[in-house]
Amino acid sequence: MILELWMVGVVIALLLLIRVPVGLAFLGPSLWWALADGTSSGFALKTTFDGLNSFPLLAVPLFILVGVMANRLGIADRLYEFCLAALGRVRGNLAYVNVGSAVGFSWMSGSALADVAGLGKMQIPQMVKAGYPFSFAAGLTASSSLISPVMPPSIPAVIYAATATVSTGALFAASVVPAFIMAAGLCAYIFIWTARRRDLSTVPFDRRRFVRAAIGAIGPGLTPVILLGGILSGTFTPTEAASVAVLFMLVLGVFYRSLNVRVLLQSLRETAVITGGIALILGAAALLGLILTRAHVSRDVAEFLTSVSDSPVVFMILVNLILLVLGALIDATAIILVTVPVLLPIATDLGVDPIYFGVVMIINLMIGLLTPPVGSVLYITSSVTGRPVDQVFRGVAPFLIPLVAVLVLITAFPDLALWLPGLLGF
Amino acid sequence: MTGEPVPVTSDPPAAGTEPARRREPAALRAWASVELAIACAALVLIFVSVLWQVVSRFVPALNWPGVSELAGYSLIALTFIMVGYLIGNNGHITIQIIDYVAKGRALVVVRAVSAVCTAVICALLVWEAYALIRAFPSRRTAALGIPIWILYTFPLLGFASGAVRAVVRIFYANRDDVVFDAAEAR
Amino acid sequence: AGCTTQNNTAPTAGENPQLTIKIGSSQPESQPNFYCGMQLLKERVEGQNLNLTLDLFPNSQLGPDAERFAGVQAGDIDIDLQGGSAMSTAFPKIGVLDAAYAFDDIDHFFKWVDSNGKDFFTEFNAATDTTIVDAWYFGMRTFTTTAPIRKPEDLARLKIRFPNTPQFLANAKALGANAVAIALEELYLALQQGVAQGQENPVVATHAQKFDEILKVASLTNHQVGTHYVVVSDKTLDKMSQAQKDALFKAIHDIRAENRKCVDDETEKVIDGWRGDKSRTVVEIDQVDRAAFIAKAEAYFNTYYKGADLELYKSIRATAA
Ligand code: NA
Ligand code: NA
Repeated sequence: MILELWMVGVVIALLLLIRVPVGLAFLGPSLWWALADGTSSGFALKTTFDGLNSFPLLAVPLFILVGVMANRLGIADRLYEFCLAALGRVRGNLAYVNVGSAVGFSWMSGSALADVAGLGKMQIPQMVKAGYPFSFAAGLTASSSLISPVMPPSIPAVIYAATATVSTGALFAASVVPAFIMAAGLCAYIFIWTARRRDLSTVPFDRRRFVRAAIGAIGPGLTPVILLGGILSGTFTPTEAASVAVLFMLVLGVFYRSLNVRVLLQSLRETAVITGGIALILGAAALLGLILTRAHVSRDVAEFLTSVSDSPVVFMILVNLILLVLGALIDATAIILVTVPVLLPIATDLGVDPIYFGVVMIINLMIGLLTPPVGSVLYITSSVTGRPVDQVFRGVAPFLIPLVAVLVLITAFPDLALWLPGLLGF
Repeated sequence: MTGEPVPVTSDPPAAGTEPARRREPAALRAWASVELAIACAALVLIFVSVLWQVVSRFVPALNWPGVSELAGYSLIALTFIMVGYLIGNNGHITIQIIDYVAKGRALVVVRAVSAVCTAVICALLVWEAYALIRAFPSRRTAALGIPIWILYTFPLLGFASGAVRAVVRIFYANRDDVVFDAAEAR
Repeated sequence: AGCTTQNNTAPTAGENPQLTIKIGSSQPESQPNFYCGMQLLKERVEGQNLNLTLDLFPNSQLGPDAERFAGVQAGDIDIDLQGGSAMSTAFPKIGVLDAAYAFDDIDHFFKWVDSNGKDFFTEFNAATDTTIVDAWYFGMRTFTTTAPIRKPEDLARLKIRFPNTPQFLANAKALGANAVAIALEELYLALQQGVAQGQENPVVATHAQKFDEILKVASLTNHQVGTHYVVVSDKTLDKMSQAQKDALFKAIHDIRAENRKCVDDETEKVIDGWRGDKSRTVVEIDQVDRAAFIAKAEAYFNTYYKGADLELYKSIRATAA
C-alpha cells in the first residue's frame, strides 16, 4: 500500500515537472490509485466535488473579488498616496510606504497575489525612478505582499481553519500580532539598508497634500473597521464578512465614481479565472488528503515523528523544516490541505495549540511563495515588471533573512500568536 | 492592474508579442466566452447568496435554507466549468521549472507530452463524471432538491472541454505559450 | 482484496474471505458512540477470527454525513453511523423519524424499530442499496441557549441555530423556533459573538463541541430522539460469507443496549456537571411544558406531511404513550 502511494507521489512530481496544471497533476495519479484500491468509479471526482462543498471556502472567491475590485476602483491607490504623503520626509520613505500600504491593503485582501499584482505594478517603477535598485524594489514589494495572507482576512487562514476545524475568528485574531511583526521585520531591514544610502530622494512634508490624501483614504480605511466590527458585534461570521466587504467595495466605487459596468464585468472575469485555477487545486488536494487518510498515512507519519522525539520543540523545528522544503515545491493551499490532517493530530497530542500551529504554518508557507521553483509571488512580480524571474529572486533573497527570523521568533514564542485570541476570549 | 496589457517576461523563454495570432480556433474561443460567462454568473450567485444569509438573519421573512447550498454549488460549478477555459488559455497554475533546462526542440517535446497527459487525465475525469451521473439517478440535494446528477454535468462539460483543448495544444506544441493575464480575461 | 464474491451460494464457515471493513462516523473518539460503539464492534468482530479486520474512521475523517452516506451507497465506505436526515437525500421518508416529538423517548423509538423496522428498512434497502442493521442511541436533542426555554413562547424570542436540512428546519417551525442558518464550522464563533443565541443537539454532542463554554442555559426539552443508524453497504455484504454477516449483525444488535447505557451515563455526567455549576441554569424535564410543545408540533406536522409521509408520522404518533 505504502509503495503504491510513493509511486503516486513520483508520478505527480513527474507531471508537475512537465508543466501539467497542478490540479490535474494531483487528480490523475490519485484517480489511478483510487481505482487500483478498489473504490467505485467516480470516487475521485466525487471526492474532489465534495471537497469544494464547504461554506468557509466561499470566502476564497469573495476575498479575491475584494482585492481585484480594490485595485480596479482605485482604492489601493488611495492608500498608497496616503502613506506617501505621511512619510515624505523620511529617508527611504518609498520603502516604508511600500510596507505601510501593504499593511493597509492587507486588511482588505486575503492573498499575496492580489497585493503584489496591484501594488507591485504601481510601486516598483516609482521606486526605481526615485533611485532604488530594481532588485531592492522588487524584493521588498514581493516580501511585503506576504503580510496580506497573514493579516486577517486571510485566505490560507480560512482554508486552514476549515481543514483543521478550528475557529476562523480565533485564527484571525492570532495572526494580527505576527503580521505586524513581519512588517516590523521588513522595516528593520529597510532601516539598515537605507542607513548606507544617503542618495535616496525624499519629498518635504506637504500639509495640504497630507490632508487631501488622508481624506481620500477615509473610505478604504473604514473597511477593516466594518469587517472586524461586524464580526465582533455578532452581525456576521468571518465567511459572511467577505460578502459584506464586496458590498462595501461596490459602495466605495459608487461613491468615488470609479464603478461602471465595464470595471464590474472585468473584475468578475478576473476573479472567476483566478478562483477557477485555485479551486481546482483545492478540490484535488481534498482527494489526495482522503487517499492519505484511507491509507492511514497520518498514523504512520505520527509514529515516525514520535519515534524521532516526543518533544514539542523538536517537533515544531521538524515541521518548519519540512514545510519550508514543501513550500518551495508545492502550492501553499495544497500543502495546507494535504499536511494538516497528518500533522495536526500529532501536534495536538504533543500539546501544541492548533491555532498557534496554524499561524506558524501559514507564515512558513507564505515564505514559500517567494522561493523557486514554485513561487507564485515571484512569477507575478516578474510578470508585472517585465523582468526575468531570476532577477526578481535575486532581489527577494536578502529579504528571506528578516522573514525567516520572524518565523523563528513566532515559533519560539507561541504567546505572540496566542495573546490576542486569549484577550478576545476565544 | 488597470487596463494595459502586461509586459511579457523574457525568462521563462520569451512568449509571443502578438497573442491574437496564436489563440485557439474560433469555435473554442466562442465556447470559452460561454464558460467564462457561466463562471461569472456563479460568482455573482456566491456573493448574493452569502449576503442573503446575513440579511435573512435580520429579516426573518427572507430566511431560506437554500442560500448556503446555492452558494456552495455555485463555487463547484465555477471551478469545473473553468477547467477547459484555463487549459485553452494557458491559465492554470503550472510549475515552469523545466523551461530553464529544455529549450528549442526539447521544449516542443515537453509541451506535446504535457498536453497528451493533460488530455488523458481530463478524459478519465469525463468518464468519472459520467459514472457519477449514472450512479446517483435519484439522489437530490438536501435543501434545494436539485437532482445531484445535474450538478455532475458541470465537471462533465468542463473536463470534456479541457480534453478538447489539450488535444488542440498537442498540435500547437511548436508555438510559444502566450503568457496569460487574469486581468485581461475575456 | 482477493475476495470471492458469492451471489446465492453462501460459503460455508470454513471459507471466510479476508476483508478489511472501513467504518466511518461523525463522532470524535471522546464520544460514547466511538468508545462504546465502533470500538466495541471492532473488538468483538475481530475476536471471532473470521478473517474480518475493522478499520475505524471517526470524527468525519471520511467526510461530512451526507457525502459519507453516498460513499456507503457506492461501496467506498463499508459501514457508517448515520442520522436520518443525512440519508433523507436518498430516501426522503426516513426524515419523518426525525420529526420533533414524533417519538416520546428512546424506548418508544426502539419499540417502533423492533415491530415496524423490518418493513421500513426493506423499503429503505430497495431505494438505497444499503442495509440498516440496527440503530444506536445518540441522545435526546435539547436546547442550549442564553435564556431558559420552558414553553414555546420562550423559544420564539431567541435566534437558534438548527442544522440546515429540510427536516430540522421543519422541526424549528413545528416548535415555533426562530431558526437561523450558520455553517457548523462557524457555529462556535457565531454563538460567541451573538449571531445566534442558541443551538440544539444531544447533551453529549453539545459538550463535545464545547458549545456549553458559551451557552450557560440548558433546557431539557428532549424534543427529538437522536439515533445513529448502523448502515452497511450492500456491495460489502455481497463479499461477505454468511458466518461473517451473522457475526457482524449479532455484534451490532448486542452493542445497542450497552451503547445506550453509555450514552445515558455520559449524558447524566455532563448534566450533573452543569447542575453543580453556579453560573449555569438547567431547566429540568418536568419544568418544560411538554404538552404544549407536543400539541404545537403535532398540529404542524399533520399539515406539513403529505401522503405516505403523513401516514408514517400518524402511525408513529398512534403508538405514543
Ligand atoms: Na489580509
Ligand atoms: Na515556493
